[in-house]
This record gives sequence, structure tokens and C-alpha cells, in this order.
Amino acid sequence: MSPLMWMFLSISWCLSASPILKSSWAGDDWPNSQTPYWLAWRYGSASFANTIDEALYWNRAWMLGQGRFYPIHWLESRIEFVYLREIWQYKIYQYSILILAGLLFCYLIKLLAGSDMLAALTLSMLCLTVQIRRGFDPHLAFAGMVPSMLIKVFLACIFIFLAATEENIKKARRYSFLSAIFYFLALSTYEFSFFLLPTILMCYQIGYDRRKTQNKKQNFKTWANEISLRIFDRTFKPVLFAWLGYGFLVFGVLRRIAKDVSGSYVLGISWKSIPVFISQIFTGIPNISIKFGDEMSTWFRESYPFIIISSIISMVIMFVFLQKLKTMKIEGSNDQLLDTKFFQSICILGITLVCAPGFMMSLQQSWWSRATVQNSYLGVLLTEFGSALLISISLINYRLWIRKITNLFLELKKS
Amino acid sequence: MKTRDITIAACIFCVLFAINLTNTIGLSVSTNGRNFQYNAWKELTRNTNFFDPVKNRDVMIAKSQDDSFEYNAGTFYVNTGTRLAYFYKSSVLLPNLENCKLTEECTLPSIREILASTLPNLNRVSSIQPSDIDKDWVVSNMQPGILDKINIWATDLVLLTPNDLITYLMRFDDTVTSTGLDTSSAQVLMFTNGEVTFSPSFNGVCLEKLSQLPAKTNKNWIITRWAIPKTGVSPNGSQVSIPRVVDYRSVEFGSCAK
Repeated sequence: MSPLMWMFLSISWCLSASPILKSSWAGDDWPNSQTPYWLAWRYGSASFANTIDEALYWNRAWMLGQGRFYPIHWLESRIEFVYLREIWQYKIYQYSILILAGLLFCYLIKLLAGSDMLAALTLSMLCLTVQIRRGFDPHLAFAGMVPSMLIKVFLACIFIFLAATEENIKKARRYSFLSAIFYFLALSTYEFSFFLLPTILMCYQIGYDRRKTQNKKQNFKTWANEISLRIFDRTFKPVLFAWLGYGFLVFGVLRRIAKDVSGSYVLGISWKSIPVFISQIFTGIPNISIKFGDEMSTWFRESYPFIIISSIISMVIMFVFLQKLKTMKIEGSNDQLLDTKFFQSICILGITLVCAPGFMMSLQQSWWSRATVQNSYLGVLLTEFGSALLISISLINYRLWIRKITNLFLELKKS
Repeated sequence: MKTRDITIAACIFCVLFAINLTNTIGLSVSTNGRNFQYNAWKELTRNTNFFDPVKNRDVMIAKSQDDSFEYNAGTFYVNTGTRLAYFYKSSVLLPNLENCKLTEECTLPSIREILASTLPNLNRVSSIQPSDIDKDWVVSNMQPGILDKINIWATDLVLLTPNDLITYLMRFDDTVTSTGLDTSSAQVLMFTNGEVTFSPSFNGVCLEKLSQLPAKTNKNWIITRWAIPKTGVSPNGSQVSIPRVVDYRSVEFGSCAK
């Protein structure tokens, strides 16, 4: 696909996320944005050394108090707030980091699938699945913690894929270590990435299959057996150790010595976990978080020129993109993906992203009886990215899906 | 795919995109609710001499003070250059304020005593070394006798209407009662987004306008300075006099006709 087409699709993505620039401080950003002023008051100035000290102070407090370990977030957020004091500076950073996470995700899909079509469609779908939420919103609040974590996870995925496809052992090891480092950094940014190990594993599996030129669909049992062995591959081991090391540090050490673990971080499971988990699966469906009514019409009236112009631009871009697909032969197009082994792995990658937030929330007692499709938490960004991928896979394979479903009905009718 | 199918797909995408964008814009803009207070505080502390009487190590208290927002000792220091010992929420230094009504026989504890016992809560240094006194402002303020002669100031940011924000500054005169305020030290300032449509009142007395000027950061804002008259008129026209010392618990702002 031409660079110009990629640029147009990126414009759509940038337009859809642009309202972030109109927002003010939100959520935890209010108190945390006061950091430079507090540092100046306490120590006389908000120097770089004071900023790092402050980050480490809070990291230590959360380690010993709640048993949580996320120092990278403390460092990133304190530095952001100290050096980006004006709201417009901070919002440009927040906007950029989300845009970057989206583009990196599409690059990852392009790398894994070898398909411009799937990557481009995923980018288009992100414009619809990424929705700003009431309450806890990861897009315009919380110091860009979730996009930052996702960027590191995607980098870990890219490097493990490169490691898996690399014939040169030395180079493969180097990529593998880089992947483990980025994964550990992601874990130290936000613990949510603890549930994203399968995502990295799928990238490794896809790369492995690419190198061995194995892409014949297997039955689920054979495929699952192969995946469970793949975890212990020498090239994947650094990532596994990063995951195990972090798990041991948090659950084996910090949780035991933490003095004041609040209810939100006490994990448990009950029948109430099930509706929480199910409700969160659907949070990435386009427009699902929207409450239609008078408020929406007021919002539209207040900004309709921008909304109409942006939507028309996006419509034209989508039209041109679909026309291009019609005229150009793009690798990985219809009827190819569904019947390959790659399809199983990429679907698991998408499903992991969709399900991880709900899984985490279902284990937190504070969310039982509270979480709904419209009441989600910060991890919802993962669901939005995963949903964009799964919707794109479905759209690409729509003819094959229809054929398969029709055949299924015919068989049922016969029997 | 036929051109007709492509057109339909692009139109569906456009509608979903427009709905999502509307929602996204609406929710983003809804986070701007505090911007007026946020920017007014910045203007007040950076571009006016309103807080000139406040000196280093003084203490300020306000009912609406909130460390979670911009209304705190940190922004006060960076914007004015005056380093408070702390800027407290009044419920911290006067914990029983709400329960202790003016009409009831109820003695409030001394603010200075509570200050001495509360200040160490801000300390992060476990074993204090001599070098910490210069390095850490909280440690410095915890040294014996250092806060004995400071002034304690009452202030607040009160949103009278969505476009009118009033603030005042008065020194505590705790020689008589622990919550006495010296009205001779009073200053009142009002930020108005647009035209000034009313005069503010203090404890039922209409205030006298001293001056008016546009804000530096936002040309639509008008900053008006007001004085508390010794004898003035109430909103219903009767004569009322303000004593030199009023109780902090009685402080109340309202409006009079312009």
C-alpha cells in the first residue's frame, strides 16, 4: 500500500483522538500535576534530582504500603508533570503517546500478518473502538500510563517476533533480550501487562511458524500443545523470566511485606466475577459507551462544524482505501487468513487484549456488582485495541465467514 | 466489492465516526469545569499584589483549600514567591468548625496549638540531621519557636455564580478568640467572566468598589477590588456596622444589586 494511503489513514486516527487536546486535567492528573509546585515548596526548586527522588519516594510508599511495583510509571509521570506544566504541553504529549501506541500496534499487525490490509483496517477500526469514557479514562487522564505500557508491550512483541524469525543465533538472542527488557519495563509501568504474556507468546509463535514456513491449520489440541512447548524455547526464555521475576517480586515478596493493602488490590473470585468479566468483553464495540440523549445533541450542536468536516474527511479516506483494495492485489486478502495457522495465533492475540482487563477486574472485589459495559477501568484501552483487531479480522474474512456459517446451517438442516 | 457496497461501507463508517467523535468531544470538554477557578488562581497569585501582606512562614487557611487541586501552598510559592509554612484546609486546623455553631457555647481550640501538632504530619525525614533544616522546608518549620510570631490568614475562593469568583484575605486576630478575624486587614477581590452585574456582600453588608481592571491572562475577565465599610447598607437597605473583629465561622459572601 502506498505511503500516501497510510498517511491518510493516520489522519483519520489523529482526527478521532484529537478531542483529547480539548480536555483539562482529569482523574489522578489533578493532584499529580501539582508535583513541581510541591517540590519547589518543600525543597526550594523542582530540579531533576528532586523529581527522581519524589518518584522513588512514592514508588517505595506503594511498594511497602500496597505491595505494588510500578516505578517506571512514577518516573515517567513525575518527569511529565515537572517539565510539561502548561496544560497544552501535557495534552500534546498525552495525545501523541496514544497516537503512537495505535500506529505501533498497526505496525506490529503488519509485521505479523505480512498484510497491509489487516493493519490498515485495524487502524481504521481504532477510530471507532477507541472511546473516551466517563469515570476512569485511560486516554485523557492518568499520565498516559496505559498507552505508555502498551507501547512497551508492542515493542516487546516486535522484538520477540524478530527474534523468532532471525536465523542468526546471536542476533536472535539480542532481540530476545530486548524483548524481555521492554516487557519488564511494561510490567513496571502498569501491572496489567502481567496478563499480556500470551500476546507476546503469540507473536513469537507467528514468527516461529514464519521461519519454519509452517502455516497449515492444526486442530486446537495440537496447536495448544505446540504453544505450551514454545514457552520454554531458549529464545523465549528471557521473556518468561521477566514475567516470572516480576510475578515473584510482587506476589512472592511485596504482597507479603506490604502493610496496608487496600480492598481494591485484594484478589478473589466468586460467582459475581462472571458478570464482571463478561461485561468488559464488549466494552470495545464501537459506540457502546455512548449514552444517547439530550446531552449528545447539545455536544453535537456545540461542535458540529468540526464533527461534520472530520467525519466527511474520514469517509472519503475510507472510500478511497476500499477502492484501492478493490483494484490492488494486497497480500493477506480475503479467503487466506481464516484457514491458516496464523489465524489461530493472531486471534488469540486479539482475544487476550480484549479479555485481559475484564479478567483482572473480575478478580477485584471492588468491581463486583459495579462493573458494566459503560462502567469500565483503565485497562479498557487494551480491549479497544483488541476489538479493533478482531473486527478487522472478521471483516477481512467476511465472505469465508458467511460461507462457513451458511454451510453450518445447511448441515444442521440436513441432520 | 462493488462501488455501491464501498459507498455504503464508507457511509456507515462516517456515521459511527461522527457519533464517536461527538461523544469524545463532549466528554473531553466536560473536564474543563474547573478551568475558571484554576486560571483565576493563577492570575490572582501571578499578576496581582493581593497577597503582598502574607510573608514567608505565614499560614493560610481556606474552607475550599484542596491539595488535590491548584489551590495549595506549592502553587502559592511558585506564583507569588512567598513560602507559606502551609496552606491548610480549615477543617484540618479547626476540625470541629462545622459542629461548633456561633450560637452554641463551644470553645474552639487554639489554631497555633493545632498547627504545632499537625505540621509534623507533613514531615518525610525520619531521623533529622542538621543539613535537613536547610534542605527541607517542613523540617525547617518544625524547629522550636520558629513559627511563634507568624501571622495566620483566612482566605477562600468562593464561586458565587459560574462566572463570578470572589476571594478575600483577612488576618486572624487570635488575641481575643481563636477564630477572630481582623476586618481592618481585609481585602476582597472578585473575578468576573464578562460584565460585573452585582456587588458582593460580606456578612450581610454590601461592599464598596475600590477599583476595576482587566485580567492579564484573559481579556474577558474583569478584576474588581472591594472594601468592607465600617458602616454600610445591607441588601435590603438597612444600615449595618461591621465590628473590627468578626468570627471566622460567621464569614459569608453574598450579593447586592449593582
